[in-house]
Amino acid sequence: MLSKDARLRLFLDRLLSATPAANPDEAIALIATLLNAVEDEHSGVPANPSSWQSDGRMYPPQADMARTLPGLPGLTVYRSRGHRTLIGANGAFTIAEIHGGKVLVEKAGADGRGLPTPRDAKGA
Amino acid sequence: MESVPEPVEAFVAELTVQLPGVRPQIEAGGEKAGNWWIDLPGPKPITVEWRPGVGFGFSSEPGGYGEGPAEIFRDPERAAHRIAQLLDPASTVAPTGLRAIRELYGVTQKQIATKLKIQQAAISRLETRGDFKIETISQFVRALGGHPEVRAVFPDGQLPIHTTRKKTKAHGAPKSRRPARA
Repeated sequence: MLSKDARLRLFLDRLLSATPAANPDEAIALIATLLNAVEDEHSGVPANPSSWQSDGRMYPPQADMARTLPGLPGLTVYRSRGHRTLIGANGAFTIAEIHGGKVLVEKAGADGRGLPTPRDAKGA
Repeated sequence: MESVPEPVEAFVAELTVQLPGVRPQIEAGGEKAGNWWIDLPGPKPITVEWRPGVGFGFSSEPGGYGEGPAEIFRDPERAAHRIAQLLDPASTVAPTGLRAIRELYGVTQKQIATKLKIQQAAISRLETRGDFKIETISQFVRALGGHPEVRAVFPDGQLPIHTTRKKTKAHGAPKSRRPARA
């Protein structure tokens, strides 16, 4: 088994190496597939996503946790206790820490572009 | 703009009474889940999640990506009191020790000693010990009105560990003292 920090690093490395997603559904599926694989391989804890209480295992964003942002069409945010995951319409995404704002991973979509900025959204 | 649910407002109100210097930042969660986030920035930041129908979840330690809370409380005031225990810089009590749990549920040493039929001094010694028998913790939690639970978690499953053995037919029922009638 690996520590939680080691598993997180492995997950982020696999995300960066993976084929980019072309849309939000592919992006969330990519995140879920890779994280579940790491946790299955290295956490020692069986998956139980319906249980809210911590069991030592990390879980991907759930569909009902999605929120769209006014003024940023095409952008969906999934908030968890310690992280904010932003996914763009082109499949690009970032994962950042809530406290401190450190960006853990930035991945462009299949079109090679990253997430839109507020400036892009306003068409400036 | 969504309105902040009443339990979240009650939690924040009680928390600011318990910790006057705290500045909670409230954020709506999933559009379908209806959950809300309360971030408490500071030297030891804590994030609280409120889920409708369930309550307030949080952990004293940072969690991994998407990890659930270690502690869950249905009541907003109890949750706020617990957060105050975790964040109080002046506290000399271990935030996850037996004394902290007893104080969280408003029980004195004398009251729990009476329930357990032991001396108050024994409670004091118990609360400062670093290791316990599982049965000791179980009795303490039951005396507070709680339900103790010990679980074994394996890569392919999990199951509860019972601390007292119940006599069942599978293990052999106690024999009757009366001889069986023909």
